[in-house]
Order: sequence, then C-alpha cells, then structure tokens
Amino acid sequence: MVKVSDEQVDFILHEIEARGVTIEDLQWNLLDHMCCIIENEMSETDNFDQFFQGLLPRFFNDNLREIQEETELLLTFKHFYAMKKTVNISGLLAAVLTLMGSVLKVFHLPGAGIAFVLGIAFFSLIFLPLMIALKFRDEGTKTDKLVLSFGFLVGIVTSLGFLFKMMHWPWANILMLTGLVSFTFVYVPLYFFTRVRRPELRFNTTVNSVLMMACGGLLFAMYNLGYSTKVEESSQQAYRLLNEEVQKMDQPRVTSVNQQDVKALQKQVKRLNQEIVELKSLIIMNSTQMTKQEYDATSEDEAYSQLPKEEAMSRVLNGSMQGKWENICKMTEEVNGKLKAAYPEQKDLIFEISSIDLASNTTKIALQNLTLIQMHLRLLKLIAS
Amino acid sequence: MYICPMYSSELLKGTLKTIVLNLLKDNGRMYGYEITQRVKDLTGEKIQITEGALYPTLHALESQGELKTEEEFIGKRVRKYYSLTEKGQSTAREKANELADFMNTMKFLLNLEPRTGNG
Repeated sequence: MVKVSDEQVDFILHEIEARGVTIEDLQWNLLDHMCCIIENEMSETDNFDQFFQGLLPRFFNDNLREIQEETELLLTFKHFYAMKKTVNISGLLAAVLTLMGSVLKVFHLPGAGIAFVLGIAFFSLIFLPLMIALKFRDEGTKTDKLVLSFGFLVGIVTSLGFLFKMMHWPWANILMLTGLVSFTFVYVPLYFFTRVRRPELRFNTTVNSVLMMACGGLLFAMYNLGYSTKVEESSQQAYRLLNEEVQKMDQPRVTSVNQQDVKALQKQVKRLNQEIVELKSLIIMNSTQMTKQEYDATSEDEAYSQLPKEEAMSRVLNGSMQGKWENICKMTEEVNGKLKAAYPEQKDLIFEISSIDLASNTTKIALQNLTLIQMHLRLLKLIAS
Repeated sequence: MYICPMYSSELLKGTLKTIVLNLLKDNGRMYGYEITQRVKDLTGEKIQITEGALYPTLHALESQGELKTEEEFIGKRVRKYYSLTEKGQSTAREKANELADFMNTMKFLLNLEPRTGNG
C-alpha cells in the first residue's frame, strides 16, 4: 500500500482549493477521500501525478466546483423552507397589523400608530425583501425575475412612503413620489412590454397592467392632497385684510363738518352690522344643521366649534344667504358713500368689499371675513361717535 | 449523481439519504471513502455512490442535525467520521420504512408478484 506523503497532501489540498472548493469542511473531506483512493488503489509502480489526474474526474462531470455548488444548494434548501415560512408569517402579521391600525385610527383609539408601524415594517422590510430573494430562486427567465424584483423594490419604497406620510415623518413625500412614479411610469410599462409578446401571458398581462396603471395613477394623483390652493389663498387674503384693518385703527381722530351726514353714517353702520350678524348665524346654522332654537340656546363660541372640518372648498352661500351677502355688499357701498360725505378727507377708511369673495371662502374663513367687516364698522362707529 | 452500472440515476434519486443514514445506523461511525466502499461491496458493485453526490448529502444531513462528526488527524490531513444523532436514528428508521412501503406498493402497482387475497 502506498503512503501519501506530506508534500503530496499539500499538493492535493492546493489543487482542491485552486479548483474552486472553498468550504473548509468539504476541502478536508475531499482531501481525505482522494488520499484514501491513492493509498488503496494506486500501485507502487504508478506515477503519482498521472494517477491523481486520473482520479479527479471521479468527483465531477465538468469541474470540481460542482461538488461545492451542490453542497451549497442542499444547505440553502433548508433555508428556503425557513424563508417560505417567514414570508407566510410576516405576510399574515403585516396584513393583520395594518388592518388593525386602520380600524384603530378610524375610531381614534390608542395603538393605531404602533400597529401601522409594525404592520408596514413587517410588509416592507421582511415580507417584500424575502419575496425578492425567493423570486430569484424560482424558475423563469432572468428578465422576469429582474422586473418582478424591481416591482417589489418599488413596493418597499412606496409602502414606506405611505407609512411616513401617515406618521407625519420627514421624507414621506419624496418616498411616495419616487415609489409611485417608478411604479406607474417604469414598472408597469416594463411588466407589460416584457410579457405581452408571449401569447400565453397576453390576456393576464394586459388586465394586470391596466389595473396597476389605474391604481398607480389614482395614488399618484392623491399623493399631495392637502389644503386646496383656494383655501390657502383665501386664508392669506383674510390675514391681509385683518392687518390692513389694524393699520386703519391708527388713524388720527377726525371731526366732521356735517352732523347730519354723521348721523346717516351711524344709522347705516348699525343696519349693516345687523345684516352681518344675521348672515353669520345663517351660515353657522346651515353648516352645523342647527335649528334656530338650538342656535339661540348655544353660545357663539360653542356653535363655531361645532362647525365641520373642511380641507377643501364647500359652498358657503346658497339661496337666501347669497341674497343677503349681495345686500351686505350693496349696504357697504352705501356706508362708504356716507363716509365720504361725512369725512371727505378719510379715503383710507373706505372698505373695499370687492376684495372679499365670500363665495369662494370656506365656512370658517367666510365667518372670519364677516367679522372683519364688523370690526371695520366698529371703527367707523368710534370715529362717528 | 450516481455512477451506477445497473440502475438509472432517476431510479435511485431520493434513496441516497436512506442509504447513508441506514449504513451509519448499522456501522456506527464511518468516513466518506468508507461509505462509498461499503456500498460498493454490499451491492456487489451494482450501486456505486459518487463523491459528487455523497459529500453534499453528508453536509446537508449534518446541518439538519441528523449527523454529528468527529475529526481525527491522520498525518497532515483530517478525517471526518460521521455518526447518527438521536434525530438521525429515528430518521433512518422512518426512511427505511418509507422505502420498504414504497417498494411494496411498486410491486403491487406493477404486478411484479401475485396479488394477495385475489383468489
């Protein structure tokens, strides 16, 4: 029996390494196995190098690395089942927690935030990444795998964007925008064009693409929903008018030449104020659905606090209210006329009623603007007293 | 992945684990080369396990906790002896029973022996 020398052991080990086997355990196994073959099957007269080259092909079809690849495949096969199990559990948890979060949020119950965060974290940080990993193990073309994995990646970004938005965290808009734009304008076309040419997939691909495009488009349109620009504009305008009014109050006290005109002004101011009070009560009653009795029994603050939340424009003026507002505009012009007659010098005190567009105000800003006119009237009353 | 002068590899696929586990059950601890030689001897060279199939299977069984290993130095090289864990013992039994049952079913299915209770 031949004995393998230490140099030959080193040589064989080096050969095993050089042929791509890197798992140490496997190297030792192969080394021992090859040595056993040499010791048992090589005769004293055989040439070591020749014998070694001859025994190598017993270990593989194409190259020695196959044996390591086969080992890795079998080892990860175990992980494969663990991964599938994790996908199932994380998917279920994500669904339950997100649903729970939504229900809690709708009913304003505590725990909504934490349920959302956990649910979407399970979904986007465990479920979707594992789906990408599993997809790559599946059979199928490389293009399909890449396109679907890209889709999952976009899903991760978008769902994190939604989470950030809901939790009012920074970077929410950029995440959502990136995700939705990539989904609608990159992923869906990629999905469609890589699949539609295959006859067996054509119908499903078309239906799925249309559905995804519609969902993506709708979500994309919604991503920047906040206060409408009109609401924003009218609240800015209300502030500007209020500021101007404050400045008007700094006017030096003036006296009128004609007491008759002053009296007429006072009378008109009083009537206009009354009209405004009535319009305000109409608006509040209309918005809060209160009856006249209920409104009278409620303090003004309380009635105001019962106004519904509004993020966009609602029609403030309808029917009789529109008529009343037109009347107020007309009466304001009359007040302005009487003001000019009584105090010809005080052009600054003229109220530009046309600068208020009550019809395009939200209920609250409309009420604020009406109060502003009342403030102006109070100022005129002070001057004319 | 068998070099097998008698049986097709499709036929033998899936029995390698059963062979290895039951061989270790009968022989206590064995190393890779020993396993291939024992199978060759026992089957009269009808079944020869290739190294390319044996080692991946041994590693997989080890990572699944069916096998444990002991290392022994032989000069400059290390020899790994494999033996069954407790889990491996019961798996070996299960696998052997499963295969026996499968073979009976195949015999019946392919009508290789007279059907019992058929008159």
